Amino acid sequence: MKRAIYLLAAILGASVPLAWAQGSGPTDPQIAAIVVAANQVDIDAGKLAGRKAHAADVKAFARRMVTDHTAVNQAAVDLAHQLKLTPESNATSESLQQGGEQNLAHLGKLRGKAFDKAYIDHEVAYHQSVLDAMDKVLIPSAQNPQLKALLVKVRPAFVDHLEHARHIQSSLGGS
Amino acid sequence: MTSLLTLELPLSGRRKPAGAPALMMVTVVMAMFARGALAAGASRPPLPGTAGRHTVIIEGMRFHPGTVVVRRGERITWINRDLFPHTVTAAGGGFDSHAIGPGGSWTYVPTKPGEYDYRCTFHPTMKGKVVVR
Repeated sequence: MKRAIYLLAAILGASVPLAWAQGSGPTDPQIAAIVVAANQVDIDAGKLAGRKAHAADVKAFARRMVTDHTAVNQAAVDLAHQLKLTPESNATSESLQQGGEQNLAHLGKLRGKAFDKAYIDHEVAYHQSVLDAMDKVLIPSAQNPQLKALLVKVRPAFVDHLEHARHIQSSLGGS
Repeated sequence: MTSLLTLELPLSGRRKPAGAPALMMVTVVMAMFARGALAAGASRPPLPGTAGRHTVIIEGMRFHPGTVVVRRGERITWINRDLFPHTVTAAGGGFDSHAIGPGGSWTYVPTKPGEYDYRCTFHPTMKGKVVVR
């Protein structure tokens, strides 16, 4: 199980920032697709954990993820419509989706405390990697000022979620 | 009255590094404000920058200002400018807004003096304080 978590963290952590390491960064339509994929992955995991989580604080965290990431996605979709910007799928958004599906498949096999730990461990890795991607790639690459402003506006939520997940992770007995 | 004016002068001078006419105008406004406020508040002049109403903006997962100092009976309104719902919940009990939706607000009028730490129950990193005098 540890190997699987490590693998997931590696998939999320490595592919997001490094996908654009060479050459120029993503375009605005690609950034929009990455934002939508990143949020959707966490909404899906949160919905599963909202049903399956064992501990009350893990369940509450999962429901918070669904609410907050749905709000971010709604804002991103609204802005894309307003700017007439069609999200363009790319290697990063696809790897996020793939990582999300693998995570769901992995979580689907677990129950009770093992489920809680795997879900929270993944949430820590996920929020860390998305924050890295925002800081190193997405915010610096965004051309449209409104798109850039939206990313800057929602960034503190990812910081809060990361700290929240880390706090629960330590209460569950570390990683 | 005189002591209030001399207290306000250097403050306005520092905030507005303008020429003498501007400073004089500020002084006149301050004098009018001080007179009106004194008349309304009887023996209690208001705290600097307050007039019985206080606003705390919730934005970027933070409360601005982090600490709000009020007199009992004054109104505090929290305005949520984030995309997410938040709460204003006293750590030791006393007040709880429950969910304040995006764009929503919540007003509370404290009646008991004291220092109240509060937080958003949804987002544990969000903390603030109300000081009631």
